[in-house]
Amino acid sequence: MSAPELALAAAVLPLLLVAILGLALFVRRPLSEPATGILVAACFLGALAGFVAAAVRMAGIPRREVPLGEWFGIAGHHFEFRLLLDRLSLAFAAYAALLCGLVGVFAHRYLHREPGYARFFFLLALFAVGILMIVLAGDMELIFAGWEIVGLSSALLVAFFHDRPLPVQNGLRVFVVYRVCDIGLLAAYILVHHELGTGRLTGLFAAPITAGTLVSFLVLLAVAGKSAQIPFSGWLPRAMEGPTPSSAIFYGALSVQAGAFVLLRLSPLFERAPAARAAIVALGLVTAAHAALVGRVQTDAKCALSYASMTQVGLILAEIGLGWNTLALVHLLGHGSVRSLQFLRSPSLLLERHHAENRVGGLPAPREPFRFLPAGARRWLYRFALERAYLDAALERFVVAPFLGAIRRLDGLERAWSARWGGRR
Amino acid sequence: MLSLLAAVPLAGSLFVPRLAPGPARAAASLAAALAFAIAAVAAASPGRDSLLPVLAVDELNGLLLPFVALLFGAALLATPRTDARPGALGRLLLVEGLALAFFACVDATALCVLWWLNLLPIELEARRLPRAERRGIRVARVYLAASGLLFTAGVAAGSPLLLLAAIMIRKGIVPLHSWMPEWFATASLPAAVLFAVPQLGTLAAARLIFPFAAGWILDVLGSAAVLTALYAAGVALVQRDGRRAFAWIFMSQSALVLAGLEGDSAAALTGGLILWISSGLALGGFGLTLAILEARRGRVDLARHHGGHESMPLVAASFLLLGLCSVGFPATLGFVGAELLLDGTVSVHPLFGIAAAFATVLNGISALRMYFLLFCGARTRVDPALRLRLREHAAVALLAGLVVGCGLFPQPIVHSRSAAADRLMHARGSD
Repeated sequence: MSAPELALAAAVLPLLLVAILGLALFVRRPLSEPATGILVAACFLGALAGFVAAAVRMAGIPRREVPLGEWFGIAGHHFEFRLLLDRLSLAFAAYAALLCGLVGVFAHRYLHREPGYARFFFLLALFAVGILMIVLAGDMELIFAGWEIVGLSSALLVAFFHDRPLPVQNGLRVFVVYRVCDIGLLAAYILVHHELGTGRLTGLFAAPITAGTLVSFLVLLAVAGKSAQIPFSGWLPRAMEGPTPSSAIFYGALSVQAGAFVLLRLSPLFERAPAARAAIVALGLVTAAHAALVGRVQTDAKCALSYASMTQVGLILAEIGLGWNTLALVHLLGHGSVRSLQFLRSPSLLLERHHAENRVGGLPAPREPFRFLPAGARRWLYRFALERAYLDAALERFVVAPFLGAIRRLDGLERAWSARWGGRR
Repeated sequence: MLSLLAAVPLAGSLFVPRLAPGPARAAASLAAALAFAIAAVAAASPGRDSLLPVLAVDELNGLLLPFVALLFGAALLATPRTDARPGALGRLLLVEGLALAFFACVDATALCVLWWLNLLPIELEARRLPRAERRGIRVARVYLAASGLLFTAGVAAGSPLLLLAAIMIRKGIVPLHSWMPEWFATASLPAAVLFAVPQLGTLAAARLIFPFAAGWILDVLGSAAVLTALYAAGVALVQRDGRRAFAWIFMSQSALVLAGLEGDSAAALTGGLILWISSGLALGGFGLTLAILEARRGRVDLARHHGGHESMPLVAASFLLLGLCSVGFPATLGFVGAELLLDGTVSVHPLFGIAAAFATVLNGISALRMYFLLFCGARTRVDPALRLRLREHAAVALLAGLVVGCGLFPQPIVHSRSAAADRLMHARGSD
């Protein structure tokens, strides 16, 4: 089989998994746990093998565009599926398949007899489809479609424990941030399509567009939302309401890294927009500093790990902004692997710590990093970190509350007007 | 054939009320199924009706006729037993017959008569409700009577401006929209959905305004439609009543259909025509699912979490799927329509395109918010006696399956709507 055939076959496997698990859920005949476990493991193992084999076949070929045909089209507007295979996409696709498979195997035991067991694996497969669409896409349309699927599956997994209000509220909050930031990617894609007449990535790489800087900033808006960069970072600790395996793969690795991947994918666009690159560096560094500070005062393991993720993703973004793309890719793959492992081990963290202390007779207390500061400044810094730099509060006070307040006033006027015509109850 | 299309449900409306409840439902289902079959056959054979030449099938209404018949059929399946007494079923068939006649009609004067006749559901609802509960009906009556008068004057005088005002009222376009949330809040939910979701106003706009109106009139129409889409999407976010939230989402999404009629872009027009079908199927299913819930829980409010996902997973999943389809989620027909609409609109008016995109973003948030509030966030035990009936499952699954199936393989619908858009552009003289 040729490299495109191998990559395509590998990409179709999670899609088949979605179809099988979705259909079983739809007819209310979910597969048994052993069958689901085997199917999930086989699917992602097959996908991994396919992407690795495709990468081997692609050795020496820098880039290959694979048209898959038209989804729909009218005169002058054609929506085609196209894959873009290169070292970046195949490496990330293999990494995504590996992590999804490992998390699937872990979750098979972790969620044993959990009421939403089948739903979890359906959403995991849906997420894998979305992330592979982003990674392998040869068009901006396909990136956007994958982006939306990743957002929805993330929000539904944050709200996985459906019968409790807090996960559901946090799931909605995550979705709101995603959707609002997604407008950036949608607008960028529309502008590119408007100017070039196509969303083809190779076309975008070859021809400079007049709105290049604007498009770059719009993409950056979407990336900031998906990768939990300032000022949208507040959703990440809230996303920890989801089951640990999904936290591991989404917020330790693939989901928060999707933004960094898109920046790498569109790096030729950013090379022609120095202002946007400077903004990426600034955004990444400020987020890294913010997350490093806030992460130090977190009192639960998953939140601390989420801020550690945010720090590293901020640094990866800074590397991309500086043009160190290979370093950024290595950093991204390494960080995702380590962080996922840490997330998966987090439920047994206390037990492991207890065993370690028993073995060595107590571990040294962590060193206070800001001991050179006066006590008052340290207290202020502590409170600043504890309140997560007041970012959520600022967004709530200066954006959400005025927006919703204005709408509520308009709604009140609507009702008053209708009451004039219909008479009061 | 076309005269039969309207005649079958109208005959059913006379016959069904005389039957006992069981046979009445069976007879009504048969009439609706027959109407769908006739619509499907008629769609495949364009041309004028030999008996009533004011009825015809062309590129525009070819696909819309089975779409309308399907909506009524699904509503009939999903209607709860309290709302499915023989008299109510007869009224539903009457409304279906009138709606199908309107969609099949190509003559301005006949459209005017049918415009008035299609206001009948307002009076039927008014008769059904106690006087004290008719507040929303009164608002709808005032607005829609005005729309009828404007429509008649518009047809008589050949004035696109008067027709525009009439259509803006019927479609719930800002600032002439206030009746729509009140109507949804007061009428029985299936009746409210079937009155609004087929979008008679859009058909009237496509037949009577688009081909003849001056460019500035279409600009007004498009601007008002985009403003409505954005405004209604915002207001939907703060609603605490399920019906009102649905009404505002519907107004927002249906306004986008009209936005497609604004520009000189064939892509935007095609996108709008596809959204008409996709949002119609999706919002029809969304509304009917809400009706299914109301039959079990009473009026659904959005001030608290209701739970119940585990006891009705199929309905919950379909509710989410239909809601997301209506706002253009990938792999559904809504995505195809939204994609073409935004693409086409941006090429003519970039700001409109961004505003329309923002409206779909807000509607997506509203749809997920409703799903979370209505099906999640609480542990509830549902009485087994209240479990969903097979016909309710079938109605919701049918609509959900259609929007996903047509989303995965959209080309036949795209082709059909593209031909309709070409025909409209040709009629306007802007190929």
